[in-house]
Amino acid sequence: MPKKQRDYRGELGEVMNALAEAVAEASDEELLAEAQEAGLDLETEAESVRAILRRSVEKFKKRKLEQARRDYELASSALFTKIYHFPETPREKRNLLTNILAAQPQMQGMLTVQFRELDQLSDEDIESSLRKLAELGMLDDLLEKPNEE
Amino acid sequence: MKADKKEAASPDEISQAMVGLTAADLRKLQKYARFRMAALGGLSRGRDYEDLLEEAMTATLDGRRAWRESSVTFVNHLIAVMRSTSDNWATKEDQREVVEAELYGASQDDEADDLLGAVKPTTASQERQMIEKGALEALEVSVSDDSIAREVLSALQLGLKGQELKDTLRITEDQLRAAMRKIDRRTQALQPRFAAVARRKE
Repeated sequence: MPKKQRDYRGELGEVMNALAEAVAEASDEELLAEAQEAGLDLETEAESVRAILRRSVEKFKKRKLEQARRDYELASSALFTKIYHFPETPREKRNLLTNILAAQPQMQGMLTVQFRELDQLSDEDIESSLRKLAELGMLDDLLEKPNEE
Repeated sequence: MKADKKEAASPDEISQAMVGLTAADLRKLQKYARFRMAALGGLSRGRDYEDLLEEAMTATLDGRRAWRESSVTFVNHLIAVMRSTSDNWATKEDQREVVEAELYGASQDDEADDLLGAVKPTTASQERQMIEKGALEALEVSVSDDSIAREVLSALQLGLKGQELKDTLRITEDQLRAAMRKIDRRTQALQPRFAAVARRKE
């Protein structure tokens, strides 16, 4: 009958895991005494381990920042790619914004323009203001009104 | 309200806890991570103790492994995460080896298959076994001057632990601790060999 092959990996695993658990249960005094006995520079050793942990924190913060930037870009692109059914000509758009702000002056607070400045705004600014109000859901009733032929 | 309902620590609280770790805490984390990676042997696939420690910290920060300060110390939390993470890595890599062995084993029956491709993993696996065997035998030799340490090492190899180990060898807790310390020191002296086992990539 052939001799059963030794499972070196299994044996190694058992020994190393047992040593790991003994370390987990060791007291601070035992750990420090053992390090001193081995002639280790405790401060340097500690700093190298702290550096590993710090690296994880930095990577985590970086990933969070990148995620926030991606979310922002996604939200921004959604703002400018969404299609709203505004009137077609610049004059009609300007009239729409004038009428909205005249009827609901509190909406001025949501924009960076004042009602009295409307005639000084460029066509692009008018369009952008309408988009902002639409994005905030302030024009839902107006824009979603079904076309009645 | 009882403290056991406390929510998981925030990234800021975790960073604060990290800053508060003492030299003894850090030494414990380092040694624990090293032994757990040495236990993986060839299954570590090139990962080292830094990867294990970093993964434990990252899993805690991103909430995959919540740390509840009221239930466990930060050090013990990181140790628990390292324990399950390394177990996970071992299981995954073990399964991968079985799949690869089955895959290449099947291809060996097929004459049309590339013979070199079939031989490669067997050679890598044999090489890894040789390194693991060498590390283990070196450790056995290193404690051969101490009869209790030698017996404890043999018992550990068989998977005995704690009370069962003490009963089998008829030794006291103090004798067991002294033997473990000796095996620990000798393992550290053989660190390059164990690092070679862990570095083996297949």
